[in-house]
Amino acid sequence: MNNLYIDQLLEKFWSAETTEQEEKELKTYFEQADIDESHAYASPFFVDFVQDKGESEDFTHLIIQKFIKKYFDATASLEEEQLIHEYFSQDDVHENLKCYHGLFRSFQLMGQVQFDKPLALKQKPASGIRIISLTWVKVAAAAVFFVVGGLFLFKSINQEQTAPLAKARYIEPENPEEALEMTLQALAMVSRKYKKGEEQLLQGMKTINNAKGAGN
Amino acid sequence: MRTVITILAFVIAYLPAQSQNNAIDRFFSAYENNENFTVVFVSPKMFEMVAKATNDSKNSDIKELVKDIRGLKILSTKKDPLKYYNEASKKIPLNEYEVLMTVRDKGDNVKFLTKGSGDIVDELLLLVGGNDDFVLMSFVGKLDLNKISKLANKLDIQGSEHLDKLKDKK
Repeated sequence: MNNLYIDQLLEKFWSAETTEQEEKELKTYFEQADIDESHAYASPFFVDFVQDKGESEDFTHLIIQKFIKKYFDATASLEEEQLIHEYFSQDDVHENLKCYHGLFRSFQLMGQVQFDKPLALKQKPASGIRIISLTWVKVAAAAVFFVVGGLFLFKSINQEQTAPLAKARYIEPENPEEALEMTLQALAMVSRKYKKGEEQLLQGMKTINNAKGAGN
Repeated sequence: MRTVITILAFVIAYLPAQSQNNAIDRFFSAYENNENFTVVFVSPKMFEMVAKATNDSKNSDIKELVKDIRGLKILSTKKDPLKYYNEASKKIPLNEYEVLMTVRDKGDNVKFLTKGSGDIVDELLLLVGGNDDFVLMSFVGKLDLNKISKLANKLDIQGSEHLDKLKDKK
């Protein structure tokens, strides 16, 4: 293979006229170590292409991507979540999934966080403030409840017992006529007392007037 | 803890609800169980019927007055009248009731009290305590004091006759 032939092939390749056979020849040319300087510019293209083809055989990232989609839809199974976590626990992550890397990594790290400082919850503060346990508060509340309830019950039973023993004479009208009569009687009393008050007032005024007259 | 507070709140809320009746109602219910007392009670329902029945009555003054009454309660006794008079005087809350008139005549004490302001009052209370009788009378409704004082003059003659009937009933 001489350089001129490669030049021709490249030119055909750029104008997309190469056959498969010719492309393969180009690839093999670029894969070898010694390349003419004038062709070096095209080398990354072919080498990358080759490498790309090699890597695309690994479909893990596509599967993981599917899992992640399910994960965000909250339909991923526990096994699938486990697989996602396993995938992200390694540093070698596919380009398309890099954006999730930090997220799942931090989830993992958060799961590992532990609080290992000693807690002083059980220790009684020296100031003498006692923390009353919730159980005792509940017991006290129940006691108050039953005592109050018992009192009301006792009261009502007591009333029921004493009520029939002594009762005031209770008069209630049975028809409007009786009611009217009662009302009139009551009003009569009111008027009688009212009248008395007025009379007293008049008498008082007279006394005052007399006193005044006497004074003069 | 929250449940405990809720239960306590209910219990506390229930306590004053029991004693929320007005002072006069309480006074009445205190003596309802005392056999020395006579209680007369005319319900608002009955007054509605009375108002209908008196529609064709000739005595327009009485008709007018009865129309405005919504309830009547009388508590009376012949035993220890002065004692109960003093007790009742003390128990009437003076921040709710206004003394309209006090009459003292030969050992006979009479007090008129009203609830509400102006000439038309919500309640008229008559308290009588002498050597023979103790009477506590409560009229509830929209009562026009002017009408009552007018009626007092008119009923004067009829009054004694009605009083006799009341005594017969006792």
